[in-house]
Amino acid sequence: MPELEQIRKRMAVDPSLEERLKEDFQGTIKEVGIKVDSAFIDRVMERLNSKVRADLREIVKKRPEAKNWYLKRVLEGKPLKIHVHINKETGKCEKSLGGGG
Amino acid sequence: MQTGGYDVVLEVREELLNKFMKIGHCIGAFPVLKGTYALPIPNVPESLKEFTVIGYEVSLPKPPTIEATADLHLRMNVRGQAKFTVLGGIKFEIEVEFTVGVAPSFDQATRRLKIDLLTTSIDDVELNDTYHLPTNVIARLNEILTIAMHEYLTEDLTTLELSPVLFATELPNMPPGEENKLTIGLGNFRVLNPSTLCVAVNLLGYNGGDINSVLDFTDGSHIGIGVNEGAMHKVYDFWWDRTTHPKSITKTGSHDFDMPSIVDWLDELADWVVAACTLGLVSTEIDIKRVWAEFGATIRFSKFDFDLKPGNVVEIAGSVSIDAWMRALVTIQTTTSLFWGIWDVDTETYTGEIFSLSVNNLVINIDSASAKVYLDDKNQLAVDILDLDISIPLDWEIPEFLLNYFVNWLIDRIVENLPPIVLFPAVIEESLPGTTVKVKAAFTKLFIDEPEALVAANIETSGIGAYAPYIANKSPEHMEVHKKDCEWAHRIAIRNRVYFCDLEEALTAGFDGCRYCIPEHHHR
Repeated sequence: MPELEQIRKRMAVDPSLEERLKEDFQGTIKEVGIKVDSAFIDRVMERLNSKVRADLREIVKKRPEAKNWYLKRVLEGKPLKIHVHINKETGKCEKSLGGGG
Repeated sequence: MQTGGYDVVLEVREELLNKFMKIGHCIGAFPVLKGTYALPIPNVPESLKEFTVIGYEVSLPKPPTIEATADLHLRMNVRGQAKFTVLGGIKFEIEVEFTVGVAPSFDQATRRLKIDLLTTSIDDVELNDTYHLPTNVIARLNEILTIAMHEYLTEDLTTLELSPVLFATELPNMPPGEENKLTIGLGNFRVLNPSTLCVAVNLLGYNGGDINSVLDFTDGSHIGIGVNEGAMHKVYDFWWDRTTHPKSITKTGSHDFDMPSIVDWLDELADWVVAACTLGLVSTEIDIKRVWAEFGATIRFSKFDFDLKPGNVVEIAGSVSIDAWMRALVTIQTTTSLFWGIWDVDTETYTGEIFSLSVNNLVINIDSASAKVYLDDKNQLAVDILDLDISIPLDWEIPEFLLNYFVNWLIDRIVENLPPIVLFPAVIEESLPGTTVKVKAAFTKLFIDEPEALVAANIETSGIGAYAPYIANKSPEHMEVHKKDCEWAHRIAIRNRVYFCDLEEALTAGFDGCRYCIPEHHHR
C-alpha cells in the first residue's frame, strides 16, 4: 500500500511520528493524509489476509503433520478427505484422515 | 434369489398361525353371532307368537386350527357351538366339529383368488354337552355334506377377484393423505412345506414374481421376511419424494478456545491483530485475553444411492450442499490506543474480528458410507450408518485450531441430521390392533443375500393376561385355576399368576379347578 510506504519513509526521518501514532493513532493517520473509508479498510484486510496466508504456509511447515492435516490439505488446494466412524455406544463421530488424492 | 422376484415375501410357520388363532380366540376376536329368528308362519295369535321365535347364539368354543398338509394344501379344524332357545324357553346346544381341506390359489394375471374345497368332514356332533351322534350317523351326514358341497359350491362362490391394492401402509414422517401411503398388493401365496406358508406381496402396482421360486428362509423361526432390493429402492424413492422430514437444516454455534490449547498460535494471532490495528506502522505489545468463533451452516441433503452387499452391509453414496460462515474474534488488552476504525473499544480492552469467512453451495460428497441393515424399534427395516468417507472442498485458509474445530462441528451436524433410510415399513405390528396385547419380534437372522434382505424372527406376545378368562395360582401349595371374575383369583399374588385362555390347557398343566368357580374340575 503506497500510502503506508510513504508514512514509513517519513518515520525514518522523523522518529516523533511513531510516538504521535502511539498517542493518537486515528488523528495522526488522518493528519498524514490517509482517508479511512471502506475502500481503504478493504485494502488493509486484503493485505492482512495475504500476510496470514503467507504466515500459515510457513507455520504449517514447522507443525506436526497430524495436527495440521486439514490445514495442509487446504493450503495444497485439495479437498479434505475424512473418514468418520459413528461409535454406536457413545453416539459420537470419530474422525480420522481419509485417503489422499 | 429366495423371494422369487416379488417385492416382499412373508413366511409364517404353522405354529405361529395357530398361536395367533389361540390369542384371537382368547381376546374375543372371533365373532359371536346372536339373534332371534321368527318362523314365517302367518296368522299366529299374539299369545303364541313367542313359540315361533328361535333364539340363537353361534360361537367357537375353542380356537380353530390350521394345518399345512404334506400335499401342500391347508386343513382347517373348527369346532362351532350353537345354542338355541325354542318354544318360548326350551334351550338346547349343539357343538359341531368339522375339518375343511382347501387348496387356495391365486392367478396373478387375472388377480382371481380361488379356494377349492378338497375335503369337508364332520368329525363330531354333540348335543347339550353330553350326547354324541353315533359314528354311522356322522358318516351319513358327511355323505350328504359332500353332495351338497359339490352341488352348491360353484366357481362363482369359490372365486373372488382381488383388488390390485390389498392395503396401504404408512411410512414415517409422511404428510397425511391416502396418496402418501405405500400401496401393497397381493403377489401370490403358497404352502411352501408342511409347516410353512408364504405370502408374496408387491408394491405400487408391480405385478412380477414367480411363487414357485420362493424358498423357505425361516430357518425354524416363526416368521421370515424377505425384501427385494428393488422394493427397498421403491420404498425409499417413494418416501424421499413425499416425506416431511427436513431435507434442509440450519445450525449455528460458538466456541471459546481454551488458551493453553492454542498456545502455538498466540504469537501469530497477536502479530496479526497488531498488523490490523496499527497498519503495521507501530510496534506494540498486546495480551490476548479471549479467542472464540461464531459459526453456522445451512445443510441441504440430497437423496442417497444405496446398494446391498453381503455381510448385512449397505453401501451408500450421496452429497450434501452447504452454505457456511464463520467469524473468529479476539479480545486483547493493551496500554496503547490502537483503535483506528475497525475494532470496538472499551477503555483498554479491544474486541475485533480477525477472520470472517463464508461459502455458499459447497458440495460435500459422501464418497462412500457403509451401514448395517437392522430392524428398528418400530420393526421397520432400516439402515444404521456406521462409517462414512467424506470429501469437503473447503478453501478456508485459517489457523488449524479454527479450521479443525469448524470442520469437525460441521461433520457432526451433517451426521446427526442425516435423514433416515427406511428400506421397508413395519411388517410386524407393535400391538395387536384394537388390543393391548404387545407383539415383540425377537430376530434370529438378518441376512443379506444380494439382492435381497432376509429376516427371520420369533414372535413373542405379552399382555394377554388382560383378556385371559382363567387365572391360575402357581404357588406350589395352591396350584389352582380360577375364572377371571372369581374373588379368589384376585387374591393371587401377582408374581404367582399364570394366565390361561383355555381351561383344558390349565388342567393339563397340572392346575386343579377352584372349588367355588370351577367345581367340576376340583379334585383336591
